Amino acid sequence: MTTTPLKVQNISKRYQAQHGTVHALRDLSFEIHAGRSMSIVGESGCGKTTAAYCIAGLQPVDGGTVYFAGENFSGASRGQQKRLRRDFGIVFQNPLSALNPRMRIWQNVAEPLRVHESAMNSSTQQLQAEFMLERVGLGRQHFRAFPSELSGGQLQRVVLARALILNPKLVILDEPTSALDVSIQAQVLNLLQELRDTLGLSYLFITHNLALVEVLTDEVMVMYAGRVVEAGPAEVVFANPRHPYTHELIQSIPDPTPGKWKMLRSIDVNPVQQFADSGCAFRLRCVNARPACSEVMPPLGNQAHAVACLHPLL
Amino acid sequence: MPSSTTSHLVPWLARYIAWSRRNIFAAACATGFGLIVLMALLAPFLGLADPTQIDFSSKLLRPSSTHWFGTDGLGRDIFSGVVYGARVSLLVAIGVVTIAASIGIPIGLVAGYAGGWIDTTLMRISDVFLAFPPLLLPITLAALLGPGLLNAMCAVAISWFPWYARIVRSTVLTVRSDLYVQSARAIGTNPSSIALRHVLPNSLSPVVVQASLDFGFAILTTASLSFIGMGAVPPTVEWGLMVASSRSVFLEYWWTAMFPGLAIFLTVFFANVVVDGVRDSLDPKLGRQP
Amino acid sequence: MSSGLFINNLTLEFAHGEGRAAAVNRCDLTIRPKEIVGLVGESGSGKSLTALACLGLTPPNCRVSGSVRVDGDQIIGTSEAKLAALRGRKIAMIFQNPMTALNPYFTIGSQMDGVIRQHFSLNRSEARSEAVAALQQAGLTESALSRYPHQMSGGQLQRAMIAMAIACKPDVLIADEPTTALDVTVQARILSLLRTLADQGMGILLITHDLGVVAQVADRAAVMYSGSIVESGDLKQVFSAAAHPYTVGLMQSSPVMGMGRRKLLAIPGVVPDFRNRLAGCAFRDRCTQAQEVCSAGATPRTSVAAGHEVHCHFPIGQALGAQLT
Repeated sequence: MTTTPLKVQNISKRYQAQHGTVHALRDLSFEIHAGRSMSIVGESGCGKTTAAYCIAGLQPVDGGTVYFAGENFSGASRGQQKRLRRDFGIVFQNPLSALNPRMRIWQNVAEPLRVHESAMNSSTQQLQAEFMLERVGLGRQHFRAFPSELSGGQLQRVVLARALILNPKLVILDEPTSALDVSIQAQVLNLLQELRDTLGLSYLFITHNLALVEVLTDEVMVMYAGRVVEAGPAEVVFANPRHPYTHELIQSIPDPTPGKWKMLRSIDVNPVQQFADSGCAFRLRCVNARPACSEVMPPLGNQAHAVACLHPLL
Repeated sequence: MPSSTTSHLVPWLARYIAWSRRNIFAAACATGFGLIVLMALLAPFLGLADPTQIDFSSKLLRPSSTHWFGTDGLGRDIFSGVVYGARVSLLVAIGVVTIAASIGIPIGLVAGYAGGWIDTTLMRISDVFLAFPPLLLPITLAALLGPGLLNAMCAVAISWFPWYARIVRSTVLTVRSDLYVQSARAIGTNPSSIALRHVLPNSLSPVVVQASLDFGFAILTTASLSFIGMGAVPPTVEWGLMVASSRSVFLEYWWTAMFPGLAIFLTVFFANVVVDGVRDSLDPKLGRQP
Repeated sequence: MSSGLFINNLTLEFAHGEGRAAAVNRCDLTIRPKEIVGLVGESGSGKSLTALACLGLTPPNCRVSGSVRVDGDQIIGTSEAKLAALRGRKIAMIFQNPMTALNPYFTIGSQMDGVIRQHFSLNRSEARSEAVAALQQAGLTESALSRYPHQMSGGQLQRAMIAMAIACKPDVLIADEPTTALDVTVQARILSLLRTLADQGMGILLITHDLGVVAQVADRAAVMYSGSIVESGDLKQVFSAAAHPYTVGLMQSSPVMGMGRRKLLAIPGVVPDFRNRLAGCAFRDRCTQAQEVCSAGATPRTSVAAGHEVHCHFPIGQALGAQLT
């Protein structure tokens, strides 16, 4: 049996808030195979960031299991978890706050070595860190600088170098370019593409920007109210969205390409933002909603292009 | 960590100097403070009279060319006493602040990082010390510990550590959720390593400000303790003690209280102005007009 | 006749070393009633400072020169008292993060009441009905009056901010990244609202880094780089026949749906800090067509087509513009 870089089985996460329990994640399951990449897309509150944090072990799950390279990660002890943490790296949204401001750039990158390779001496660690920094395209003059001296794009490269220094097979990317300018974003995305191809990496890519999905990943999951509502190969899902929410998302994206400007439809001015408690969470916003939608929670299914809807489009 | 301190120190010094050039009053105070420090450092080499030398034949002499600040009731040269007293006062200030910070910082770090019942317990213990009026606790502790400058310093430090604990704790609470701490957790760094390597160094800047503010107050409080007999004892040369010993005679012989009192006042005043400058020059937003 | 916002030769300078450095350098921009002008720029372009200058809100250590006229009233150099009369009444602004732009201690209703009664002498109930009208125009119901900012979602807060801005029926509205912090489905609705406001007579300056947002809603577009406007004109012109290398670069590096795994064409280098700007054209060290002449003196203003201007020695010709489609 071959093991995959990441397997997530029915993970759930709940919070206690003022007005009751918030189900941030409900029964999320998916698998990323070696060399393949997956995106999770959705808007704020859909649970994608919670999913990233739970998978990375930064928050405990309330149910379900996370497996890295076939081994149980979420249920493991801290010591066992530490060993498994070598198998993945993580890149966050805000590069400046993801680095210790009082440590130099190379020291930040060498942290994983210090934690996992305690036998390695300090100068070897520095050499490896500098090698990785060159690999991500950072000039030598920046190695001894402090994070406050570098720009956003440069900092994100540093965070990437730190994520890759232990040669993991999986990198979790939580909105890695949202805080960057458009022209810098393109540079960082190109770098991510190149590293994925040369190092054979798998990405778990969390984003709200659907246009980036196909740049970095093969498959996509669309999340709404803590559940996956549609999943499948990115090209297929975007060309033929079957869930009304996916359709609405795609329609809302402004496209600057001449010829693709959409005339603004007269949109419902007062949209319902909250999630429904029973049945399908999307039914309060859905133009296709029928009585059955309030009784049954539609399951996702296992098809290649799966959709959690009782009356999918097409 | 040392490397980051020095590399932050040099540009800061340049900014401080640039700031001083624009603000003459503050620059003058900084110079005054610098002179006091210099005076304290060089005291033994200045060829001054022994400040503890008792000489009844020259008691209560007015300020003159032989005794610049006059002499006190026991014939001791007051100028020399003020200069040597500076050593004691500055050492006391550094000592008190160091001891208070050394107790407060670890408590604040552990309370803020661990949270839960550890946090509650530590903070409630600190609250006990905070509940006392400012001078009452040091006086009580000094009375318990007995006379002596070291005991006075400890008494003051023990009553001040909660401030440091609180400051560090509240910064730690913020830093704890910063992304680089989450990254360290994601990498697998163990919690004590995270606390010491990542959280602590980034929680210290407010402590620096508090410490520099406390510098002047430490001098004042210890002098006050000495004044009421709870602090320094002879033959230690200390400004508060000098004012105390002049109590019975200063109405007629004004110089016996005036000069040590002025020394206390000026040192604390200069120290506070210098601290304001430290804070202002650390703030990049106070840019100047083009 | 002269209604609208007229920015001429606007220059914003900060102290740098012994002299000054210009964060915004001689900008010209006009916004007329019923039109939306999209000002596109990345960080460091000076676009937000330009917006602040239009309301006289630049920081105290910034030196402002040039002219900003709203319906004939000059903004630059005018006293605070006169500016207070103009702000909200003739020209209003909405900001990127509604949560921090609204006072968390007061209800939406009381904040709006304050604004309305500052400009119009109305009693409480008259002001309230004006507020309700503005809220409804922005897509909120009367219940918003009694809510506090923390009780509302991002989209609702942005609408509340728009309602406050339009309550006094200003002629010009400046929107500084109004949808950047919002979800894309909410963004579409806010943009639709802005379009409606413009159709009803308001002139809107829409500041953003997102080309798609501009394409969806603006009539004209201006592109800003490192303090200067490098290209401006009719939206179709600028987007289908972009003439400045930076505009072309921006369009090519913006990811769009349906691109597949194609590599994005990135602009090499980074946006310069305005204090270290190069002499001559600020873009030349990142430009594929820069030559000697680009490093000396000011860049010329060329008219590429009717109403379409570009500041470049070597504007990209129509041939390449056609290749973008």
